[in-house]
Amino acid sequence: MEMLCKSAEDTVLSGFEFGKKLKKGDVVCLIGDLGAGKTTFTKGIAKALNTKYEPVSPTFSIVHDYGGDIPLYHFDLYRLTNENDLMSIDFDSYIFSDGICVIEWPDLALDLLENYYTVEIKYSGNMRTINIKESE
Amino acid sequence: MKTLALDTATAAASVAVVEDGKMLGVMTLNLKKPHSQKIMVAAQKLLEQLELKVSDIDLFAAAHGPGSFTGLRVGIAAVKGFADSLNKPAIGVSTLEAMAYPYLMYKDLVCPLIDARRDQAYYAVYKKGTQTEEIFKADCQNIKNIICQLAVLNKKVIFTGDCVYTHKDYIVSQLGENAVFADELYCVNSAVAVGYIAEKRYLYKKESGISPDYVLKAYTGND
Ligand SMILES: Nc1ncnc2c1ncn2[C@@H]1O[C@H](COP(=O)(O)OP(=O)(O)OP(=O)(O)O)[C@@H](O)[C@H]1O
Ligand SMILES: [Mg+2]
Repeated sequence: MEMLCKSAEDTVLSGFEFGKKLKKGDVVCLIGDLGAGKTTFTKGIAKALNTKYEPVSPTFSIVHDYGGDIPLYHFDLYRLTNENDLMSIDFDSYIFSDGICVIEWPDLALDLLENYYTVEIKYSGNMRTINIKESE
Repeated sequence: MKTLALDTATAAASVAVVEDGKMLGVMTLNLKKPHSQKIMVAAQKLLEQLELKVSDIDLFAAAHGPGSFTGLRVGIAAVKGFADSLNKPAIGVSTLEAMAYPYLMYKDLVCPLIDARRDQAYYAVYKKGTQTEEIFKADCQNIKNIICQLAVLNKKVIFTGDCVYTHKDYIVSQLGENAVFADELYCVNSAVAVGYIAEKRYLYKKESGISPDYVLKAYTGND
């Protein structure tokens, strides 16, 4: 599925539409350069899940728990360097939980995931092209 | 003497107060959440109901691992915080040894298992001699390897822990009648044994000190 988003609000809205389809245990990997709009898209997902808190850039704490009817766990793995770092945040306990995991910079974790959605965000100026795929 | 003990190594967060080998009280929250700070509130509530102040406690203990990294950090930080501020001793106890403790009286081998996901488990094997002997040291391995090592011993083994019932069929297929299982109700970690073991160690072996004993698991991808 491919979408064009002309503004940050558009990207939030497409996150919202996508978020409505998510179920317990789902994992979403967000791919895109710095500033592409991964966190912006996550704000839409959070809205759809009616979370207690609004997403922020989690770069400083690796994972945020926003609460909600289905808990939303938001990761930014940008600063991690190896799988031991994942272990030290109990990564498995989140991805095997009853919540939904949204992962920015997921490269380090891809080998550990089975089924997940990939949301790829490409940009030029304020225009974003968002491509959503489900892993085989 | 009175000991306040925490076990935050698994999805169950447990706090207990033990006095001279007897349990005064215990509170266990089986929240199934990745980690929880609720243990601090639980500890305060428990002390309150027992009409105790933290300053009445003589020894602080926590399960030091293996288990959830976040859980261990929370439990150990809490115990260190109490102990340091009151200038009392703190002591760490193996999560697995505490899980095995209630079954050691049967003189059989006891194998506690903690879920490490992807068919892996943290485990150790204990037996009661004059003291508790560690037959296999704490490690993290695929469940098949663990059971294979136990099968060659051809001895009765008692299993307990949060993933025993996930793997029960497989264990029975390999060990047959040599496999005995703790009731599922009791496969939830409790801090009572942590407190009891801590007290004994402190009194008879003059041990103290606490630091996490993370046992690394092998992330080998989707094999
Ligand atoms: N169409 C658009 N969609 C999304 N964001 C947009 C769009 N147009 C402009 N922006 C701006 O781009 C920025 C995107 O930032 P955001 O934090 O979402 O990126 P990110 O991909 O999470 O970056 P990082 O890798 O640093 O975490 C925001 O400041 C947002 O306002
Ligand atoms: Mg971001």
